[in-house]
Amino acid sequence: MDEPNTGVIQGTLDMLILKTLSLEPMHGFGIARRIEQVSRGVFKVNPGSLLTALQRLERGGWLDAEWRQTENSRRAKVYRLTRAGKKQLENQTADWSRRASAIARLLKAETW
Amino acid sequence: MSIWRQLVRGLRALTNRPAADRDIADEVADYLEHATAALEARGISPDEARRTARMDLGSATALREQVRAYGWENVIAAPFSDLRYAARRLRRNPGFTTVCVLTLALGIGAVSAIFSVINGVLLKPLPYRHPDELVDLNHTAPGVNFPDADPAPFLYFTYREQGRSFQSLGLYQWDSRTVTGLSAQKTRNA
Repeated sequence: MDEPNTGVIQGTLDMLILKTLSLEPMHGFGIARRIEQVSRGVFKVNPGSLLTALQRLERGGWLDAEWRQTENSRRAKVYRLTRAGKKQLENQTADWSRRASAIARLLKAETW
Repeated sequence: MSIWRQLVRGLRALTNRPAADRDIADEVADYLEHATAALEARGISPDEARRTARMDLGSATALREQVRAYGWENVIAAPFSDLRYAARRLRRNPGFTTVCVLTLALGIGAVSAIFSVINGVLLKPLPYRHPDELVDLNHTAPGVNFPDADPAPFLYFTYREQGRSFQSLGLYQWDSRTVTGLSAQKTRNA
């Protein structure tokens, strides 16, 4: 992991959260760790941005949140993708691929 | 967007701030807990792990505030607390409250009564299909300083039978002896 840690690209955090939760329900730290691990440490998720984004996505109806009691009698909030969230993820993924391939084409272009 | 959820969550935060704050605090604490556990799993001593996790997380208070600042309810939180203060004061002073409520009730009642009269008499168009083609016809004789001369019935019949300017014609007369006997007039340009 020699590559430097960077923040998540602006505007993609929601998509990454939705994608991560489409695999399985998870709590906030689980999402952050998964994003860091799968991106091989390229993206480091800021906890404040993450928890705010979760709040926003939950209120928007993309996620459901559920409180669970942990073994050391703490409360943990576990998030799960809703049907609307799944749809949103599909839309965002399609949109992202369109933009990413456009940027890739632009960067590869040698002659105009 | 789920407007219903936005509304319910926002209202809950407004009416029960402590519970909403506790939720955020619990989530932040749980995050820290997991972060510490993850570091410990990598073989770092518990104390060191806790310290590192804290440093990664930054100030927990700042984090809670950041999460808490999300939501439409923060925009109206200050006016809402003013409202609650006002309600509290009103409850503690029932006499003043009663007078206020009565004044408002009478005022609103009077205004709406007056308006419903004005609406019926002045504002609502007459119940004809082309109210803009209605014309009020008057006889006048300015030469002899007689501004409003009542037409004789034979004139009305002449206008009705022979006139070409109006589609139809009606005659009405004010009578002060009875309760405003008023029959409708319908005229229309040809």
